[in-house]
Amino acid sequence: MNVDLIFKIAAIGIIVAVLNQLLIRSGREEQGMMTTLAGLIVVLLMIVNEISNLFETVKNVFGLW
Amino acid sequence: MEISIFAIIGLGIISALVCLLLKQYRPEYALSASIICGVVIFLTVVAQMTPLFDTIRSILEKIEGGNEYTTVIIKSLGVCYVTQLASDTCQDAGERAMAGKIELAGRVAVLILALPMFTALLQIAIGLIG
Repeated sequence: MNVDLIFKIAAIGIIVAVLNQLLIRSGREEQGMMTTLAGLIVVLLMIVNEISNLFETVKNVFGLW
Repeated sequence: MEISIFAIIGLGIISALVCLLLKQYRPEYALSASIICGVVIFLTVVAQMTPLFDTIRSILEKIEGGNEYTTVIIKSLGVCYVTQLASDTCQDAGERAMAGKIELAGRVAVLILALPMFTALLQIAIGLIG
């Protein structure tokens, strides 16, 4: 079980939230939005890998396709 | 890989806490964390299902023609589990319409899988009548 992935995502979320707040407070709203977008893309890439792993396992175990 | 039920319970509760914490600041990350938690739990459970299916297969092999029926049952089970996971995720994200469509797709997929069995049943019925 790779539980650390959940905590990794939690950490990315908290860091992005803090960065976003900082950048917005210092008047750089575009960069804050870019940070949010980049964090979201990183997390989505991690999730997509794991979901493809899940689908492969399900295909093998249940004999689909 | 033997994972106790207590490990899964602990993982679920801790992920729920993490999601709750993240939801205040960034709701999209909360959804991501919940997806990952679901996938991790599902992977561990599915990995333990293989010996179960082998046992069921060996039991149902004794029935005549039971082998293909077992394959259909297990395939439908897989489709159901994956569909349930996706639909629950959509519902968590607040997209009930999307969840409904995914469930519809899952139902159609199971129906298509079970169609050969329907035709076999109809053949038997026609044979009995005729």
